[in-house]
This record gives sequence, structure tokens and C-alpha cells, in this order.
Amino acid sequence: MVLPVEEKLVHSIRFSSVGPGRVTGTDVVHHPKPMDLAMKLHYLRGIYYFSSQATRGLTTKVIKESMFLWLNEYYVTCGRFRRSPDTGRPFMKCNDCGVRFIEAKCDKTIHEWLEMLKENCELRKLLVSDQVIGPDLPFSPPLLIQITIFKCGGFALSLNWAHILGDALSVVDFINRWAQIISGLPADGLKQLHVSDRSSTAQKTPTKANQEPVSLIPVEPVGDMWTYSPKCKMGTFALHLTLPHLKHLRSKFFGHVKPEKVPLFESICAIFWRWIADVKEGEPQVVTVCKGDPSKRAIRSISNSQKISAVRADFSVKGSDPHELLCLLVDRATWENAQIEEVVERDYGVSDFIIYGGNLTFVDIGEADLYGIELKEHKPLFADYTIEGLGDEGVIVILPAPNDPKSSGDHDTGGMIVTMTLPESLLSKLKVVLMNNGMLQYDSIFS
Amino acid sequence: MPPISSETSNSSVNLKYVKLFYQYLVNHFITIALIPIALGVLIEATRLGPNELLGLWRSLQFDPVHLLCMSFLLVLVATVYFMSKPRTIFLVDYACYKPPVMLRVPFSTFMEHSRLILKDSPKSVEFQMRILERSGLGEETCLPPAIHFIPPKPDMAEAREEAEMVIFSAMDSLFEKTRLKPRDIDILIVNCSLFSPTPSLSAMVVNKYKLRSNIKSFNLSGMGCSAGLISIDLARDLLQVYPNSNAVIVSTEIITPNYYKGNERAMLLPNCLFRMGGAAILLSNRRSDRTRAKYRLMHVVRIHKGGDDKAYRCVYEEQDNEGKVGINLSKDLMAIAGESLKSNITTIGPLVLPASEQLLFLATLIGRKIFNPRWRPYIPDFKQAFEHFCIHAGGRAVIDELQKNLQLSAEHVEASRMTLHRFGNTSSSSLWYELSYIEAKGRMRRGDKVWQIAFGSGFKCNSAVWKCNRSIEAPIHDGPWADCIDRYPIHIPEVVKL
Repeated sequence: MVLPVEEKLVHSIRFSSVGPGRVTGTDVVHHPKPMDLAMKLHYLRGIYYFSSQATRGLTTKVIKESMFLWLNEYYVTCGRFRRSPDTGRPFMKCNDCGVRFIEAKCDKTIHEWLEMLKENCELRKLLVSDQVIGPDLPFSPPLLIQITIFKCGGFALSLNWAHILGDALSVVDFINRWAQIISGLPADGLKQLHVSDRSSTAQKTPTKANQEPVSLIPVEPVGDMWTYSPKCKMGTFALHLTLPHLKHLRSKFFGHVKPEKVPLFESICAIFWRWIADVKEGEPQVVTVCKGDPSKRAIRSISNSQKISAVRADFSVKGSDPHELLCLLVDRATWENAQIEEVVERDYGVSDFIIYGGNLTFVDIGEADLYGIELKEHKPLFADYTIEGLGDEGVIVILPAPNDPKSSGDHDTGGMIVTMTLPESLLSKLKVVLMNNGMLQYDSIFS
Repeated sequence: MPPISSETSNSSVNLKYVKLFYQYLVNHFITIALIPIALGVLIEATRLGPNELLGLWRSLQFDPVHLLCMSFLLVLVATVYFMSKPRTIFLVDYACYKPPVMLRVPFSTFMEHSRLILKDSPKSVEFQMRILERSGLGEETCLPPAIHFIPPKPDMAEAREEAEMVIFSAMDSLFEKTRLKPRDIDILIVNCSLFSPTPSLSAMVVNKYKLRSNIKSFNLSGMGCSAGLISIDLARDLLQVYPNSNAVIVSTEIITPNYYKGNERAMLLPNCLFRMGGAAILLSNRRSDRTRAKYRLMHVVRIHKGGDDKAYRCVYEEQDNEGKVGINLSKDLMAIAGESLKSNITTIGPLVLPASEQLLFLATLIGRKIFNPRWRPYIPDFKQAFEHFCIHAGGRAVIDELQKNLQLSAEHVEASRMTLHRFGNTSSSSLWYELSYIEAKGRMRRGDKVWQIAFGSGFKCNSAVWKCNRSIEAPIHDGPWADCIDRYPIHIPEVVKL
């Protein structure tokens, strides 16, 4: 929760819009694919923290100027949604309306802020807009960018990205491209945005025909207010799993298994699934797993091409061996993309669904080049993404951690950041489990 | 049916030829009258033979004193003539300000911001949307940075910044084009209607470019969209007084401090139409500039209808019920504009129209007075006098009205319409964007005459006539149209669906 006192930390807020410098044209329309429509109630909220060395000379004016060039390549993010008059299916009119741009100031330095963030993850809400699409679709921006300038001269750049535009890998590519443009790399002024075609995803495990997807949960119609509010209060907590932690967990739970049979993401999922089942009343039998698919992406494309699969455990998860859960996650995950698309299309994309949080969901952003963004050849001090508009079961997002700049040469010094958004009561119980497993003492990555 | 229509088309073609014949006859009357006389003299001369002619010559008995006196008289007359002739004013070159793309305002952005700013007045938002749809503006017009915020933050510092951005950019461009050195400027006139700080904008220019301390500087404010031509008139008069001088005129309108923050409909109109723009013009009376100058100034006609109360109040800056300042445009605006145009035409007609048109106008006038008042007044065909027209891009209605009144074709008003589309209503500088358009299209040839007409609060109708001094070749690599002239002309729909 953000207290009124804390709200004053961020002040001098100004709103404006940035859009493509070049006129996109009249009557340019983008039709979201069924996968996009399935994600429309979800939002990705990412924040990147840049030190004062990285931001030297980057005034708000310079940033805005660069964005006009950048958005020429991504005019779809500048459009507005409408509904088709006959079917009610949402589509986007690419009318150059623009991305909302928010400027703010904070009287703390970046390092002070990051320390405060450790104590209270809710503070991140001050740095990223929480506006959703609706109630007026034609006047709701799908993307809001905020720049908060700290006392030391560094800034936090945040994005409130409507998931209907694209998945986490898309956003990361999108913002990395901005950093390239502001650093002076030539912009592809004339190249049109490649909106990736839906390619048929080859099924890893063949699914039975006419099987309803487990990961797609229909919800009560929300009309033109594209968000889902969970019934219970949710809390967020970010945990840094350093390499020593990861080593410890691997040896504790998967010591008897060959290392190549223990993929990192799935192993973390298995452990957390087990821990959550231990403390939750009504243990989660089904989890949804979302992984990016870098192979299917064209350059400069934004789309929802993540693979969504559901995993069901036939046995009681509480107290089970995480290795069994790992085997389920690796071998028995059934991709449900095709079924999701089929269900969405049944009524022309009008019905409302959620995927994240419908079941306990694990999202892998490890493949994204999160720290590939550089300003003045400096990487961000820290970057993370959370998912909003999610269901009651909660979401666990697994991201790469920044490399410790003080380390000696080894690239993989970072480890992983596990950001969990769960019902508050569950979260407090989980924190106890984490403490008991020695996860809560760690060197601050921010020192 | 077909026979009748071919008959009418035949008769209209016949009428056209009759008219052409009449025009040729009247306009070249003197030449036509002189031909028989010249022929007569020639025939007589050949009949007389060379010896007789020589005898005639000798009989005239010129003596040296007579000859001297006569030549002295001739020289005196010629000197008096040349001394009392007004100095020719040359327009050496001009530069228009091109706003950067990051200041552009697409329709959808304008409407979305309006909805957020005027969230308590949906009717006013609806009104703005209808205006914008029919305005004739395009998606690339620009507003200054302060107006892009929600809500806009128009303070004095931002207004000065906009002024510096527009004016200095236009001046730098002018210096580059004309190779003029700042210290060589003799006269400086800046006109900006609605932003008048102390020290003035002309002082700002003097300070920035370190102009000479004996410069004659003037700052015209409050004179509306026609102030650009008032500045030209002032410069012309000054250049009659000061020999061998040049004058720099800066015409602009600073939008930042004038954004109307209320919700009164008549006062929201300028928010929808006025956009950033500015121009800097170099005039000179130096003979050395006669070869490189682009235009010569032929006439300036100024009409002020302020004596009429309705005309005086039709564009009026005042506070609304909530105390917010804005410009109130009355519903009589088009009618008053039409009246002032008529006065302007009546004054400028005799100066520029060929004799044929003037005779017809006179004949119709006499006829209406003496014979039958119900005769339709003859509207002179100004296309005979001018090759190009620059009508102030005040709004679509103004251009439509003038096109109708002056019976102009679509190509004649193309420059105005396209300027309105690409740059919006940039107030006093719009005439220069239009002239730039004509040049960029390669249509400006030596000897062509251009008529610039501007309307402004007061109510004023001012016009200027320029004659092209040297042909201007396209493509032009600098100037506000350089990167987009190939996209024009475009068809602008009556109503753009937002």
C-alpha cells in the first residue's frame, strides 16, 4: 500500500503525449490476433533504473525527440482501440494519437529509492502509471511511459504496456530499440512495422481435439473497462536468488539429478509450486506456464507469441518431491495456444478472459534481453516487470538479475529475480517459508 | 437534349471569343490606333523620297543655342522624373520557420487532450471536434511545447522560448539564404499580435544578433493577422526616406500565451485553428540587389473598416464569464470580411486591372446608377491581372468565400488550401508559406504578378502586389516545403472522419 506521505515522494507530475513523427496515414487499421485478445485484461508494468552517468545530457526534451523517431517504427502502440460496429470485436485505429508521456521528480537519489524499495515493493506504484484501457476505448492509450528524475540526476523509465499489444519479449525488444535510437544508431525511418504473422505453433505434445484450454479462464464481461480486479487483496514481493542461492536449492532438491535435466526456470517453478502448496489452503493442482518464444519473432515485431501451457498434478503437491513436479513441468506441459485461439474466436473475440492468475501462473522473462538496453554504454542499475490485472491465484515472474558490476569478469553473476504477486495472506506465509529456507538473507544488489 | 446542350456550349464558346476579342482590342488600343498613323507616315516618307526629306530637315533651322536649350530641358525633365519616382522596393529573399516533427499535433491527439482538459464540458469538446473535422487542417500542423501538456502550461518563460525558437530560426535561415550580415541591417520590424513583452520582440532580436545601435527598430503588436502586410507597408515608406538601405521584417504569432483555457465555444475556435509559424523577410532599395532579388513590390493597399462598430467588434479579445481571456469571433465575420474585400478590390482594381476590365466595371457601374439598379454588379476578372494568389489561410471558410467572390479556379487557391493543411493558420506569416509553396512547385516565372490578401482584427483587409523579378527553379532544397512538396496537392475532404 502506498501511504499519502509516500505519495509526496514523487511530485511535479506533468502529462503530455509522444507519437510517431511521420504521419501513419488515414484509415490504417491493426486487427489484434486471438492470442492478443485473450490477453487484453492484462498489463505489463516495467521499470528501468538508470544511474546519473547513463543519463548525462539526456534531458526530457532529448528523450521526447528520440521517441518521435522511435515510434515511427511502432505506430501500432500509438493507436487507439475501437469496436467493430457489427461484431463488437476490438480493433485498433492507427491514428497517431500517441503514447502518454508522464514526467515526474523525486527528491531521493536512486540508491536511496532502491533501498526503500527493498522494504516496500508497493513504492514502485509511484513510478509507473496504473491506468488501464477504458472506459472510453477510443481515448485510452495502450502505452504509458513515465520518466521520474531523481535528485542525483539518474532516472527511472517505466512502461505501462497493455498486454494486447504484445508479450514480455516484445516489450523488452521495443524499449531496447529506443535505447539504440537515442544512442544514435540509425533509425529505420522508412521500414514499416512488421506485425508478426501467426505461424502455426507445432505442438510439443499433441492435444486432444475439442479440449477446453485450462489456462484460459473466462470472466464476467467487463465491457470497455479492460481490467480484472482480483477478489482478494494482492501483495507483491521481489526476491533475489543469487547464484549461491540457486546452487543451494539445486543441491537440496535436485542433487541426485543430472544438471542438464534441471532447466533453471522449470526448477524454480517446481520449488515455488511446492512451497506455495505447503502453505495454501486448497493447494494448486494446476499451474499455467508462460514462456517466450524468441525463435518465432521477426525483427521489430511486437506480438503475443509466448507459449502458454498448463500443467496438472495428479497427486498431492503438498510435501511432494519437487523433482516430480519438475518432471511434470518439463515433460507434461501441454501447449494450449491453438485451443486458446479457438475459444477466443468462437464469439469473434468479444468475450473476456484472463490467463495470468487464472491458475497459479509462472512467467518466464529470462529469455528477454532485459539488460541489453544501454544508455551511454551503461546498463540499467536494475530492471523489473510486474503483471497487473491478474487473477486471484497469483503470478510469479522470473527475470534475470543485473550483473554485479563489482564481480570479476564472470557474466552470470546476477542470478534471478523472482517477483511474486499473490494474495496478501498467502504472501506472508510464503515469506516465512522463504526465511526458513535461508532465502531472505542476501547481499543487496543495490549496494 | 443533346442538340440544346451543344447549342448552349456553342454559344458560350462564341461568348468567350467575343470577350477575348474585346479584351485584346481595349488593352492594346493605343498600339492598334498607332499602327495606321505609323503606316501613314511611312507611306508619306517613302513617297517623298530621301532628298525631299533632307530638305525638310534643313528647313527647320536649328542653331546651336536652340539645340543646347532643348537638350538641357530634356535632361532637366528626365532628372526631375527619376528623382521624384518612388524608389523600387525589392524583396531579396525570405525564410519561413519549419517546426520540428516532435511538435506536431495529429487530430486524434488534439481531441484526446481536449477531452481530458475540458472533461466538465463535453459539449465544448464536441464543438471542437466538429470544427477540426471541417477545418481543412492536416495531421502535421504544430503547436508549441507548452501547449502539448495536459493541461497546457502557458507561462511567460515558455512564451519567450517559443518566440526565440521561431524568430531566431527564421532569421538564421534568412541570413544563410541572403548572406546578410546582422550588422548590415538598417531597419527591423517585428509584428506579433498577441504576445508583447517588455523589452519588445524586436529588442530581443537586436540583443540576440548584436545589431547596430543606430538601427531603426519597430514592434507592431495587436494588429492581427494582416499585420504582416502592414509591416511591409511601413518598411516601404521607411525605405523611401532612407536611401541605400535594407529592412528585415519578422512576421509571427506566438501561440503559447494565447491558449484559451475556458469553454466558451466562440472562443475555442482559435485553439483549433491557430498553429506555430513565422517568417523573416529581407527588403531592400539598393540598386545592387536588383539582379538577385526575387520580387519587386508594386502596390500595397490597406483598408480599415474599424469605423463600423460591427466590424470593430467582430474579432474581439475579452474575458469570458469565468474571467478567462480569449478571442471572441463573431458570427458576422464572413460577411464583414466580404465587405472589406470589396473595398480593397475597389481600391486596387484601378491600379492593376487591364483597361478592358476597368471599362466593363465602369460601364456596369454607370448603368446601375443611371439605367437599372437591378443589373448585376460586374466582378472584374482578377485572373487577368495576376498569375498567382496568396489568400491568408485564416480558415477554410475564408478561402472558399474568396474563391467564390473572385471567381478563382482550384489551382489559384491551391497554395492557400495546402498551406492551411500542412501548417494550419499561422496568422501573419501564412502568406509567406503560400508564396513558398508556389515557388516550390516551380510555377513562379519572371514577370508573374502575385496578389497577397490578408484579413485581420480591426477589421482590416490589406493586400500587396509583387512582381517576380527572376524565375525561380524547382526543386527547392530548403524552405518549409522541401521534404513534402511532392505529396501535394492533395484532396482535402469536406469532413474528415476522426
